[in-house]
Amino acid sequence: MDKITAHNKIRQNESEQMTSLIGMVILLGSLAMFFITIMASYGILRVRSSNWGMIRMGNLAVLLSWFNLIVLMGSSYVFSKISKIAKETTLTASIRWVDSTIICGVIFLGLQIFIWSILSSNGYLMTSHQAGSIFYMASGLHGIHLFIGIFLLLWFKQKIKKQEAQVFEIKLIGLFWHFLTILWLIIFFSVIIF
Amino acid sequence: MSNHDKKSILSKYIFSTDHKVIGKQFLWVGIFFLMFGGFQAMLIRWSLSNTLEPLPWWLLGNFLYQSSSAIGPGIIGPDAYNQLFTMHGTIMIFWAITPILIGAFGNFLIPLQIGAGDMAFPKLNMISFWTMFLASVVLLASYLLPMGTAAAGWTAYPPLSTPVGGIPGSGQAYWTLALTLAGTSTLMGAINYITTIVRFRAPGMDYFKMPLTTWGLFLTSILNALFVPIIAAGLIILLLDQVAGTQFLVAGNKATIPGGDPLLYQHVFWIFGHPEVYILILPAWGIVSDLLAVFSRKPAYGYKVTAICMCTITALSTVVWGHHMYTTGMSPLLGKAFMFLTLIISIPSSIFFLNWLGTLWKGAIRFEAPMLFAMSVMWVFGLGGLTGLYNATITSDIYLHDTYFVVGHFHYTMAASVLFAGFAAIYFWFPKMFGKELDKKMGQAHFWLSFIPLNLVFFNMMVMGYAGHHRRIFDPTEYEFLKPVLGLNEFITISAFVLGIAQVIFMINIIYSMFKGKKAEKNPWKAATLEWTVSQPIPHGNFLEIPQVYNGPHEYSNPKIKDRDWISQSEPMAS
Repeated sequence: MDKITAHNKIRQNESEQMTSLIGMVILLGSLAMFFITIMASYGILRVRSSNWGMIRMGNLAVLLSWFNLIVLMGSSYVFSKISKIAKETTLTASIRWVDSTIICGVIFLGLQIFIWSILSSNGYLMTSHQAGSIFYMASGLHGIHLFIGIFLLLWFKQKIKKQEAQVFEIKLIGLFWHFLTILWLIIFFSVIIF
Repeated sequence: MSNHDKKSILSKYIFSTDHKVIGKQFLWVGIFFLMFGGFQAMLIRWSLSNTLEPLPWWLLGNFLYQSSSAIGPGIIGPDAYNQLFTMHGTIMIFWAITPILIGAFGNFLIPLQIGAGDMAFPKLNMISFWTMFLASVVLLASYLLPMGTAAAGWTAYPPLSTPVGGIPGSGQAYWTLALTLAGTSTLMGAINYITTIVRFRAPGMDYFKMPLTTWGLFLTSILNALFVPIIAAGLIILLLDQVAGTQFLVAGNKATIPGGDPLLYQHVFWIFGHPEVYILILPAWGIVSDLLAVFSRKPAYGYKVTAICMCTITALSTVVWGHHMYTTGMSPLLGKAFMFLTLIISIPSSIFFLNWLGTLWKGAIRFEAPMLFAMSVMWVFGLGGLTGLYNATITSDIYLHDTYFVVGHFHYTMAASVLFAGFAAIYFWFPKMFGKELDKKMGQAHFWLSFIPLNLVFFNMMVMGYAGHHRRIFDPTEYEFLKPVLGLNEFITISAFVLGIAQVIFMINIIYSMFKGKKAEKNPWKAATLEWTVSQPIPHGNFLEIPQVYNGPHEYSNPKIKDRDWISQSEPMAS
C-alpha cells in the first residue's frame, strides 16, 4: 500500500468515526429528553403531594443503594481504564477491564433486583403509593438501558476476540455507559435519597 | 457499501438495507393504512348520518359488526363508534402520513437529493422499518380482542384510557404499546436522517443548496429526535397505569393511590403533540416549495427565507403546546402567553406563503397532477392556517373547543395539506421510484374528485362546529340545537363517500402503472435536483461517482442557460 492510499484510508476511517459519534450523540440527546420527561413527571407529582417525604424505604434498602451507587461509579472508572489500556498497549490487553465493567454492571443489576425484593416484601410496592410507582419505574427504565449496555460490552468483547474491534468503539459505548452512570446519580439523589 | 452486490431475494426485497427499498416498504405500509384508515372514515360518516342503521353492502355490511357483542348485524353501536374514530385518527397520523411522508420519501429522497450513496446507518434503517412493522402487527392485533380496540380518542387522555373507570378491555394497552414501538421506529429514522444530512452531503452541497424537501425532512427529524422520546416517556407512564396497576394519571374518588394527575399526561402529550403537527407538515411544505418551482419553471422565490422561516417555525412549534389546553383551567396568564406565541407562528408562515405565491408569479405553470396537488396544498393549508387563528385565540377557542370546527381545522392542515403533499410527492417521484409513468388522465381525475369533495367535507365540518356540533357525539339527531344542520351533516357524508371513491382511482392508477405503465424517462419533469441525475433503475449505491454540486436546487429559466430552461445541480454553469 502506498502512502496516499494509506492516508486516504485513515481519513475515511476518521470520517466514519465522526459519523458514528454524531449518531450516538443524537441518540443520547433523545434518551436525555426521555429521562427528563420521566424526572419532570416525578417532580410534578412530588410537588403536588403532601406526604411524600414521610414514605421511607427502610435503612437496609438505602444502605444497599448507596453501595450500588459506588459499584456503578466504579464501573465507569473501570471503563475509563479500557480505553487507556487499549490506547497504550493493545485492545486484547484491555479485555480484562471489559470483563470487570461487565461484572460491575451485573452486580449492580443483581443488587438492584435484590433491593426491589426487599422493598416488596416490606410492603413498598409499585402500587402502594406514587413514591413507589416512581421509584420502580425510574430504576426499572434505567436498569433496562444498563442491560443493553452490558449486552453492547459483551458484543464488543466478542469483536476484540475476533480482532475486529476498534479503539474508537470504546468511546461510543463509553458515552452510553457514562450517560447511564450520570443518570443513576440523578435518580439516586432525587428519587431515593431526597 | 462493500457488499452492495451480494444479494438474495430475501436481502434484496425483505431485509434490505438499501434506502430505496426501505423507502418503498414504508410507502406500501403507508398506503395500506391510508386505505384502511380512510375506510374507517367512511364508516364514521355512515354512522353519523345514518345512526344505528345497518351498513350497506358497499361498506361491507355483510361482514362487519356481525359478532354477538354488536347491537345488531352490520350496525355500528356507540362503543364501536368510539373505537372507529380513535383508530381512524391514530392510523392516519402515525401509520399513514408518517410512513408515507417521513418513512417513504425521507428514506428515498434524502440520500438521492444530497448526493449520498446510502443512509449513514443502513442497518439501523432496516431495523427502523421492521420495528414499524411490528408496531403495525400489534395495532392490527388489537382488532381481534374480544372487547375491541382502543376507544379513548387518538389523544388517549386518562382516566378514560386507564382501567380505572376508563375503556374496558386491553385494546387501550395494545394501542399504547403499538405507539411506543412506532415511536421507536421514528426515532431510529430521525437519527439516521440527521446524521446522513450532516455528514453525507456531496461536495459543494451546502445547507443552503439543499432542496427544500430535504430541508423539511431535516427539520422534521430534529423535532422527532427531541420530542418523540417525550411522548415515549408519557406512553410508558400510561402503559404502567394500564397494565402494572400504578395510578400516575388517575385522580378523583375512583383512584386508590392518591396523588395522581391526569393533566400531567395532557401536558406531556401536547409537548410532543404540537411539534408532531409540524413534524408532519414540514416535509409537506418542503415538497410543495420544490414542486411549485419545478412546475412554474422558476427558482423558488426567496429560497433562503423559506428555509429560515421553516427553521423559525420549527423552533416556535416547541413552545406553543398549551393552546391545546385552554379549557383545562390553566392560569389565564399562561394561556395568554401560549396564545401570543401561537399567533407569532403566523408571521413566518405568512412569509413563506408569500414566497409560494412569488414562485408562481409570472411562472410558466404546467398543470400536471403533482402540480395540481401542490397548488391545492396552498389552498387547503391557507384555509387551515387561517382557521387556526380562531383556535389559537382563547376567547373564540373556549366556544369552539372540541367541536367540529376543530375537526375541520385540523383535517385541513394535517389531513388535507399533508395528504395532498403526499399525493403530489407520489405523482412526482413515482417515475423515479418505479421507473414507470403514472397515467395522467387518471391523475387529473383523482385530483378533481379529491379536491372538490374534500373541501365540501371539511369546510362544512367547520360550519357544523360553529353551529355547536360536538366532536365526539354518536347520534346528532338527539340534540335539538343540531336539527337545523342535519341536512348539512348528510351532505358531508355524501361528499365524503365521493372523496373515498376517488381514492380507488388512485389505487387503480398505481397498480395499473406499476405493471402496464409507460416506461419513464430519466428526468420526465426536467427537474434540477440530484435525484433526477441517477441512472434508471437506480443502482445500489445510487451515484456511479459522488457528484460535485455547483448550483442551487431550482435553476430554472436562468438566462445563462442556452438550449433548455433548466440545469442540474451537478452541472457547472457556463459563465
